[in-house]
Formats: sequence, structure tokens, C-alpha cells
Amino acid sequence: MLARLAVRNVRRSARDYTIYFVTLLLGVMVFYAFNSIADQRLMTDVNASNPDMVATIDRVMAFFSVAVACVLGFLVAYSNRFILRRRKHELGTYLLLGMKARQVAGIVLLETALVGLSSLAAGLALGVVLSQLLCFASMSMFSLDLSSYRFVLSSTALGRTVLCFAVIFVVVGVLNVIEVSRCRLATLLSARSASERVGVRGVLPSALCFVASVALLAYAYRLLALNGLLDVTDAKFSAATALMLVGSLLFVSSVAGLVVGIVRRTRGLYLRGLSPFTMRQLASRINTAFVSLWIVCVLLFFGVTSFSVGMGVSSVLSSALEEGTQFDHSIVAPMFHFADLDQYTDRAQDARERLDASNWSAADYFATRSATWRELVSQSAQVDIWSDPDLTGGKLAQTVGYDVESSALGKDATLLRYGVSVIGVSQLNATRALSGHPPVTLPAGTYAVDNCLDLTKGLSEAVSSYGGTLRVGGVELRSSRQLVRQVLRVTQLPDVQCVLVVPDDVIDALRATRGLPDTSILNVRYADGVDADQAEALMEKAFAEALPPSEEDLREGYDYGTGRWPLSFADSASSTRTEALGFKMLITFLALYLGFVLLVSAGSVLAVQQLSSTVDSVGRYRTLAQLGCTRRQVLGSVRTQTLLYFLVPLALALCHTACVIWVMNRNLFSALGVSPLVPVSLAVGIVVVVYGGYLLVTYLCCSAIVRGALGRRLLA
Amino acid sequence: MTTALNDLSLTVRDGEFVSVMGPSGSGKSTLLNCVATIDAVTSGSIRLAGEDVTRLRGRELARFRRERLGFIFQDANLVETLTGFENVALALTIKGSRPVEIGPRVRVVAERLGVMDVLDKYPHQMSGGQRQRVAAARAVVGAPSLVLADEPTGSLDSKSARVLLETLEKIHRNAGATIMMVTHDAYAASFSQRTVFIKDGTLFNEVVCGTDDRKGYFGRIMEVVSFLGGGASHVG
Repeated sequence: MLARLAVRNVRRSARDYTIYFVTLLLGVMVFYAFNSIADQRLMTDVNASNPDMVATIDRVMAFFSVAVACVLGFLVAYSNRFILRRRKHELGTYLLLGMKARQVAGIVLLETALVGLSSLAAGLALGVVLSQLLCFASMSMFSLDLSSYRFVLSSTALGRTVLCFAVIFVVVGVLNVIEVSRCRLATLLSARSASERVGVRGVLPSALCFVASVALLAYAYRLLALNGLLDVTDAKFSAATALMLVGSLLFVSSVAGLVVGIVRRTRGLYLRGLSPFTMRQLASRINTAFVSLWIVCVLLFFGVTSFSVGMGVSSVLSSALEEGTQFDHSIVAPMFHFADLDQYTDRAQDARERLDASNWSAADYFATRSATWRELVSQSAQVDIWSDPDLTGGKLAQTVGYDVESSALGKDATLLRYGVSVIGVSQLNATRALSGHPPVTLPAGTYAVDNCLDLTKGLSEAVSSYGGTLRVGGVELRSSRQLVRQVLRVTQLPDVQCVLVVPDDVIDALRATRGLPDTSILNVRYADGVDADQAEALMEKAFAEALPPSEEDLREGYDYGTGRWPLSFADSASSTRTEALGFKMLITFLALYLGFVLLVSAGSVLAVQQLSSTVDSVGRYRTLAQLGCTRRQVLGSVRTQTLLYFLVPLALALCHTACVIWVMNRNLFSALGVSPLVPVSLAVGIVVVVYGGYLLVTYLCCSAIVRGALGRRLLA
Repeated sequence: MTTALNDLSLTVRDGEFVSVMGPSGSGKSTLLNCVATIDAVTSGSIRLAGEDVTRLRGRELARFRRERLGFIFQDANLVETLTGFENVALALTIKGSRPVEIGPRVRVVAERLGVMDVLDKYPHQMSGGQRQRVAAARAVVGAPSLVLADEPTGSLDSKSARVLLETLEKIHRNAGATIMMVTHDAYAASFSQRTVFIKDGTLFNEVVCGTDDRKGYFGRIMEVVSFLGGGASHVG
């Protein structure tokens, strides 16, 4: 009996449940899909080469899923409370008819379970579909053969989803039962007549609040720009965050009062058609619900920002990767710190001895010691990076007349405090030959510039076109006006920042005064016929043969010597590529996941509010129709209200996002040469689809409520 | 399907103030709703200044309501989110009146109905009587051909009811408005010129004020009410 009643109730109030159901459905869908990523077929492939990465992706997804579960849980509880409040009169009638409070609570619980279970089932089905789509997308991202695709149902994700939503429903069910059984019959029955008191604020307080909010937000933006978003532990960042929160709250609490005040004073604009009604309606909504609008605004801000920044970072990664993997393997030995600390004195001594013994060639060092190396490596090119402490980046910029302060670099860049990197032209050309590029011809007494980073592009151009002379290692050099772009090692992000390419005799001079280069890099190509999957292992074997491990190395888990010339660390192109793609995939999925969930949450909070407000306002629409408003006028007012109610928090959130993107663009994207256009247009896309979708569904539901309540004759 | 009104013929002259009385379920509200084009008739016609309103469709219905009718409801039906001024102005703005004309016209009517001091207040800040007079102002500000009042005193105390009825009388006398008022209250009906009684969906009787004073007219209305069986005295 109770079950039948519950089923009938759900069916009858299908419209109330629509938005709730859709939101749950979407929540379950993405929750499953993103939690299942680690179990997909593709990942078993990636797992073989890089098990850490798959574990990382799974951990990160699980971590953020807890946050997502909290947001969804809040959402379910919130929408459910709204539905319950709307049905108080009906529940009161059940009590009046002699049903026990326990039975009424039972009906409500059954209804919750019914909607919950059906959305869980449908959401899981959609989630399985979505996870396969994600799998296809990531397979093409990794350029994997699509024919290796196999359908996978992730039991981990299934378990997590069911557990998470079961907990949410149980909590909601308990809350509902408490709410119903606590209610007195009288309050349940009188719930319908309690009309909403209109919250009105004066124009002057609103205006003051508004000005204060704009000032706070402007100051917050300025702090954010100063912070540059590069250091989130900076006090400026926390201050900017706090100011943004307070400023946004003041903004949403005052904007309606101010707009009403201003528009009322311009009568020509005001007294036209239903505009006074529409505006008052909206203002009263905004004024009574400004706290939830504020929360919606914050949700939107986080959603759009994390999505666009994530997409931006992911496009940075993909554009840089190809350039960073021109060699098969890089063996790197940084030595700039050897001179600074006493504990490294023996390492410096050691390096000098090894360098002299192998004629300054790391390739020789390995080749004479390792048979595996001789089989594995066909070609190599070494590049030693030197610096002249007398020519710091700051001094260089000053000499060539480059204004760092107004550039993207900023006056505090690390680069400016240390000696400019210098490499010999013959080593550069050997490296270029290895990556298949033509050599650079450098006349005696001149220099060229190598730069791969957009951040230092301006400086490099200035140095390259400088007409005077630079003193490097005691030698006066003029610019050959050549600016080249050549990476010097395997890397995810090319990091060559304004390196001076000088004649070899300058390097000899630096060697005489400095002794050791800052960093020594050996780039290699594998011999033909080396199996790419084996190369990594073979390289480790070569290292072990050439560099017997010390006790310290063994303790730290290396089975070869490290931390000394010629090897501190090594990167292969294939592992770099896998890592970068894995990282890119992680960032992309996370951006999609968070962006989607936060937009859905924001959209559904507004939808639920707008729907219930429309139900409460049906009497007003009836009055309007009786006074002779046309159907077009009435529904137009509903449309304008819904549209503006959705747009106010969005506009504010987008302002914040624009500020963040602008700062990010200045400090990160443009430095890496990535256009913000792609992430921004993707963000616009997701907002239009998800948030716009909620807006559209809400308008259609609201308009159906009004049309249904007024009937075709009244609403002519 | 039950028939609410049948074989009912009623003529209201231009500028006349008519009350409609009858027991609960007699069809008096249906009559008003049919005239107001809110309910549709299955047969027959309702003519207002020669125009058959039962034939109006779609946008014509809305135009008819906003151009020709003024409404006063039992519970005022003011829009709670709008001030008194805005509620009265609403009747003009939805007609598309020029914004510069609206202010003066609202104030003229408000002055006449004694609601000047509540124009800047919201409905919940007004008394029941004030709300109802603002509703009356909204009904007449557009100078409609016909003012329809559905139990306008139903939710008022006797003093407020009296003030409102005098207001209606004033509107009728000064502006020459045609008023059709549905009421169950013989006292309210005694402010009109003619009272028609409806029973079981058809015209039962009518009482004309004529040259009588209000007291005499009231007495004659009461006679019909008691004849109808007291049913009318306790409906609400």
C-alpha cells in the first residue's frame, strides 16, 4: 500500500523530480566513468611501462572523488529538502487522514529510494558508456591502435559509486525521516499559505555595499596579479582569495537592490510592459537567496577555472612534447653546485679526474667501460653548459637595453641573478646534427643565441640584435644576429632560456678559469634494430657496467653510480612521452571531471530554486493573466527571470575566472607559447552545454508549471 | 459534465452598478468568470458593447481583459513583490501606456480612492482594506468598460468593507463605471443599483433600488435572501 502510494507520488510529481533525477544521473555517470579510468584496457598497456603513473591517476581520481562526493551529497540533500518542503501540505493531509508519522516517513523514504535507485541504475549505465568514450579518447591521445580496444567493466569504480551513493541516500533518507517526524500537523498544513516575505534593501545601503564589493574585488584582482599565481603559499594569494569571497558575497547581496533603485529612477525604462514585475520578482529572489547564489558563484568559478586552466596546461604539455623528445636518451650531470658546498669537493675533484681521463667525452667514458653501451648507442652528442659569473642575466639584459621589469620575465626572475649559460658552437652543431638540424656557422669573435622558451624570447631577441659587444670569459664578442631554437636534452618542457652560443676558444677560456661546466649533457640515439621496449633496460645495464654503485647508491635503490659526472639522472624519450601523456591525461580528465561536476551542481541548485520560486509565484502569474497579460508577456517574464537568475552568478564567476586566466596567461601560457584561446573556447563550450542545458531545462519546466497552472484559456 | 449556468439572460446597462447574489454553488462566480473570459461557455453568448466575448480567441482574449475589464478579487490579489504604485501601474504598463503618463494617472486614481499614502508600501505593509482599495484603483485606472468584483468585501472587517463599498459607489458615480459585483453579503449588495439573484444556474429574481434609500433597498434584498432559504447568509 505504502509502496504503491510512493510509486504514484513519484510518477505524479515527476516534474519536481526531473531536475533532481537528471542531476543524480549525471553525478553517478561521471563518478563511475572517472573512477574507472585506471581499470581501462588502455591503462593495462600503459601500466606495463609506467606502473607508478596509473597508480597516481587512480589515487588522484579517488582523492578528488571524495570532494566530488561531498558536493553531490550536499546537492542531493539540498534538492531533496526543497522537494520535501514543497510537499508539506500533501504530507500534512496524510497525517490528517490518520496515517502515522512513521508511515508518512516511510513513504518519503521509499520515494527517495525509488528515485535514488533508478538514477543510480541509469547513471551507471550511462557511466559505462561514458567510460568507454573516455577510453577511446585517451587511446587516440596515446596514439594507440583502436583495434586493441576491449570492453571493460570496472568493479572498483562500480563499488565506489554504489558505496558513495548508498551513503548519500541513507543520509538523505535519515534527514527526511527526521524532518517529517519532527513536523507538527499544523505547520505541515499551513505550509502552503506561508507566502514569502519580500526582502527589500534601500538603494543607499545597496549602493554602498556594491561600491565596497567592487573595490574589494578590484583589490583582490590586483593582489592576484602581483602574486602571479605562481606561489599559492604567498600571503597575497590567501588575502586575494578571502577578499574575493567577501567581495562576491557583498556583490550578490547588493546588486539587486542597486539595480532596482537605479532602474526605478529612470521611469522611461521602468514602466514598460512587465519589466517592473520581472525586475521585482528577480530582485526579491536574489535578495532572499543571495547566500546560495554566492555559493553557486564560487562553484562556477572553481568549475570554469579548473576546467580552463587544466585544458590550458594540457595543451602546453602536448605542444612542447614533440620538441622535447628529439633524442632517444639524455644523460645529465649537473655540477654547478659542486663548487658551492664543501661536501661536494670530492665530487668536483672526481669529475675533473674523470673528465681528463676520458678526454672530456662522456660517450668515451661509457664506451670504454660498457659493452652494452657499444651495442645500444649508435650516435651521441655532448653539450657542456658553462657560465660566466661576471655576465649575469641581469647584467646582460641591462647591457642590451632590455627592460625586464615590464616584460613577462619580471625583475625577480632567477635567470637574472646567475651567470648566463654559454655553450660552444661545435657542441651545439653536434647536437643539432643528432636531431637532424643544419649546423650554425659562427664567424670568429661573434656569438649566437639559443632559446626555446617564450618567456625569454624578448630577451633573446634583444641579445641577438644587440649592436655592441659582450664580454664572455674575457673575450669580446659581437652578435652574429643568429637566434636558433634547439633543445639540449630530452624533456617534457623545453627549458633552454637565452643561452649564448660562442666560438670554441671562448669555452677553452672558461674551462681555464672555471674548471667545470655547470651541467654536462650527453644525448644519444639508439642503434638501428634496438627494441624500443628493451632500450631502457639496456641503458640501465650500461650504466651499471660503466658506473659501479657506491654503498650510498645502493642504499638509495640505484644499481649504478649516480650524482657524479657523467650521470646524475637520465631520461629516455619514450618514458618522457609516456609520463607527459599520462600527466596530460590526468590533468585533462581532472579538468573535465571537476568542471563538469561543479557546473552541474551550480546549475541544479539554481534550477531547484527557480522551479520552486515559480511554483510559489503561480498566483502572481494568474493575476497577471487576469489583468490581461498575453501568454507571450507572461512566459517572456518567466524566461527573462530564469535567464538573469542564471546569468548573475555566472557573470561574476566569469569575471573572477577571466582575472585568473589573464594572470595565468601572462605568467605561464604565454611564457610557454600557448594561446589561451583553446582552453577559453573549450570552457565556453562546457559552460554553454552544461550550464546552458540546465538553464534551458529549467525554463522549459518553469514555463510548463505556469502553463499547467493557468490553463490555455487564462493564458491566452 | 454538470452545467453551472443554464438559460440565464441578464442585461447590464452602460454605467450601471449590479450585484449578483445567490447561494453557494448557484453559479454566480461562474457567471462572473464567463464574463471575464476566464471560463468558456458551452453555448450562448455574452456581449459587451456589441462584441461577443465568447468568440474571442488567443491574443484577443488578453487584449479584451486588459482593454475592457477591471478586476477586483476577494483577496485583493496584489503582486506581493510590487509596491502599491507599481501594482496600480501594472494595469497600465501591460497595456503599453506611455511611461510618462502612467505616474500622473496612477496618482489621480490613488488620490480619489484614498490610497496615496500606501503607494510606496508593499502589500504586506498595508491593511486588508488598503490592499483592497489599491486593487480597486488597479481595476479602474485603465478606465475599463466593465469592472468585475468577486466578493470584494469577503476578507474585510465591517469597517473596511464599508469604506471599500463607498469607494466602489464613488467610482460608479464619479467615473460612470459599469460595475458587476458578486457577493453573498446583502449589506454589500445594498450599495448597488440592482441586485440579481441566481439559483441553480439560472436567474431567480431581481431587486432594483429605484428611488428607495439604502435601508429600504437592503430590507428588500434581505427578503429575497431569506426566501432563498437562508443558504445565502452563511456561505463564504
